[in-house]
Amino acid sequence: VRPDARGLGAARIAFATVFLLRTTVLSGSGTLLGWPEPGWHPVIGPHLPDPIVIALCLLRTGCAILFLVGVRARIAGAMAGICGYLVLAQNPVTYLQSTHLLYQGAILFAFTDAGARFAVRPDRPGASDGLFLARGWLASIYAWAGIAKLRADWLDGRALELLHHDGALRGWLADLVTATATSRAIAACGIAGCELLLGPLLLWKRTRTVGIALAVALHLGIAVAARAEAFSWAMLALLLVYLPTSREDPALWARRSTSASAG
Amino acid sequence: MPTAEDRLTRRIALILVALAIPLASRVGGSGRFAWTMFSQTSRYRIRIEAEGRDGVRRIISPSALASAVSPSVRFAFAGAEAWRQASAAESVLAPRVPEIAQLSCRVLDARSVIVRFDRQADLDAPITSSTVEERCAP
Repeated sequence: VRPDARGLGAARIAFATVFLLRTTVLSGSGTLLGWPEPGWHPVIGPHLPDPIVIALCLLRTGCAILFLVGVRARIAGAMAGICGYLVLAQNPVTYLQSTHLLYQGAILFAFTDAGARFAVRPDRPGASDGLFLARGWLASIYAWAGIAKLRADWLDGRALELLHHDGALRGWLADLVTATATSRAIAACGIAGCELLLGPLLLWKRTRTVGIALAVALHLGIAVAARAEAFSWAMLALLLVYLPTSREDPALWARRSTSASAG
Repeated sequence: MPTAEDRLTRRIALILVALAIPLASRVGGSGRFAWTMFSQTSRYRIRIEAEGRDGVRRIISPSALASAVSPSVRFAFAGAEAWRQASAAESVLAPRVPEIAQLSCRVLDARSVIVRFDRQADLDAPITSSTVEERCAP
C-alpha cells in the first residue's frame, strides 16, 4: 500500500463516523434518517413502497458501517451514498447540505484509495490514490460557497441579520457578529473572502498549513453559531485528506524508509 | 504508475462533482447542489383561500394542512402564511402547488380552493407567484 493513502484512510474513518452519527438513531431522532412516515410528502421520481425505503435505509446504514471499518470500503461507500440519495428523493423537503455532502463524499471516496489504509480488509490500491480528486473536490466546495455569497444581500450583512432573526444563528458568537450593521457587513465580507481564499490556500503546498488552520476556525465558528454540527464535522473530517503525504513530508518519508530497512 | 483509463475516470469524476453538478444547480436550478453554505436567503409564503360547502370564502392558514402531511414536512407549512426561509422546502414545494391544492381540498372539506405560492430568490429579487384553483370533489 502506497503511503499516500494515509490521509485518505483517516478521512474515511472520520467521515464515515459523521455519516453514521447523522443518519442513524445516534443523531437523537429515534429512527434512521428518511424512514417512511405517514402523510403527504413531495417525492422526486417514482414513489417507492415503504418496505423498499426501509430496505434502503438499512442498506445505507450497513454499508456505512462497512465503509467505516474498512471492509470492501470502496463498494460500501458508494452504496451508502447511492442509497442515501434514493431515500432523500422520497422526501426532498428534508434536504440539507450536510446530507448531500455525506452522500456525495461517500460515493467519491470509492474513486480513491481511502479503503486501502486503516481498514479491517484493505481494498487493493488502485493505479493512483485519487488524492487529487478528494483534495480538488473539497477545495471546490469552498470556492462555490464563496461564489454563492457574492450577492448584495449577503455582503451588506442583511442575510446574516435574517439568519439571526430566524434563529438559524444563535449564541454568543452569533450575537456578537450580528450586533450592528457594520459588524454584520464585516463578518459577511470576511466569511465570503475566507471561503474564496481557502481553495487556493489548501491546494498550494506552501500555504496549506494556513489554509487548514483557517478552515478549522471557519468550521468551528459555523458549528458554534449556526449549530450546523454535522456539516462542520464532515468538512473537518474531509480536511484530513490534506495531511501531508510521504512525498510531501520528507521527514516522514525518511522515517518510513528507515523502519522498512530495519524490518 | 496510474493507467490512462484510471486518470481519465478520476478527472471525469472531479469535473462532475467540482464543476458540472454545482454549476448546473446554480445556473439552471435552485442552487441546492452548489454548496451555498448557509448563504441562501430565498423565501416563500403560501396563501390558501377555501370556499366552504356553505359557499363562504375563507383564508386558511397553511398550518391547517399539518395533520395531513408527514411529520418531517410539517415545518414547511407551519406559519407559511408569512414569509418562511427554508430553501429546500421553497424549491421543492414551488412546482407542487397543484398537489398542495388537492391536499387542501381533502383536508379542508371545501368546495374549491385557491392556492397561491409566492417566492423570492433572495432579498433583492422580485417576488414571483404561482396560483392554482382546484375544484374539490363533492
